[in-house]
Amino acid sequence: MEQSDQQLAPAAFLILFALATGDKHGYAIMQEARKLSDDSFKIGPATLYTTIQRLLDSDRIREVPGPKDGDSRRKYYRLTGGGKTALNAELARMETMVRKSKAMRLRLAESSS
Amino acid sequence: MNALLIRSVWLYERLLLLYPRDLRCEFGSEMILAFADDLEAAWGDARIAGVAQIWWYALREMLTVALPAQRSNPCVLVPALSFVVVASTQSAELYLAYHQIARIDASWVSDSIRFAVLLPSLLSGCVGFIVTRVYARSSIAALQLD
Repeated sequence: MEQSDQQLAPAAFLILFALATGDKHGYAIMQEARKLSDDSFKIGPATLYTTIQRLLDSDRIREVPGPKDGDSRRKYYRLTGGGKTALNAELARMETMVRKSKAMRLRLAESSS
Repeated sequence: MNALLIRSVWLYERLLLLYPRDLRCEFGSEMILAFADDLEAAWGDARIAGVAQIWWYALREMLTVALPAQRSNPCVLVPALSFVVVASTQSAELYLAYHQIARIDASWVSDSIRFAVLLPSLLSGCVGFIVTRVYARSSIAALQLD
């Protein structure tokens, strides 16, 4: 099984999704992930950095230098080619699920009427 | 940052010791920074309730992230098991003892919990930790065959 075929954990998916809009540091990723999930999924520091460590190890994200005027204590992260592929694969999987569930709902509605 | 937030960050920094060493070394300072930022934002939004919510998430992460990650670390597992075993047996003994006494004094209850349950459990946990550390060092030395 290829790496991009593996289903992403919710935290990993949200981190990759948050980084899709540009390089970010840890806290900015936390904020963005919360916004993307409409506050339904809260990533704490431990979950965030455990997942970041896993994503770095699997080459889905990489560390990049931050802006010159930024806080030097913060590390910035960027999506890699592998990360983009994994994110696209996950989004495609979700789209398929939504399409199937819509079709099923339609069939259920037809059979009940 | 007010005193409550400073103390919270200080405590979180100490609790990071429960996380695996590699995670702490690589991301420890960033985790503290993210926790402090989160805490400050929560204080601005909802004061004490916001801080309590951040602590709730942090403590939940201790159980869901830190402890499972330490499952294979004998320096954490042995003292923790030792503490739990001694605390439960001592608590059971204390519970049985209470049933033998007709009238229980409230101060005696707190003293007995402190001295008959917590103290031996902590001691047992400390001994477990020291023995594991010493054993880990000596076994590494013994494994150096050449």
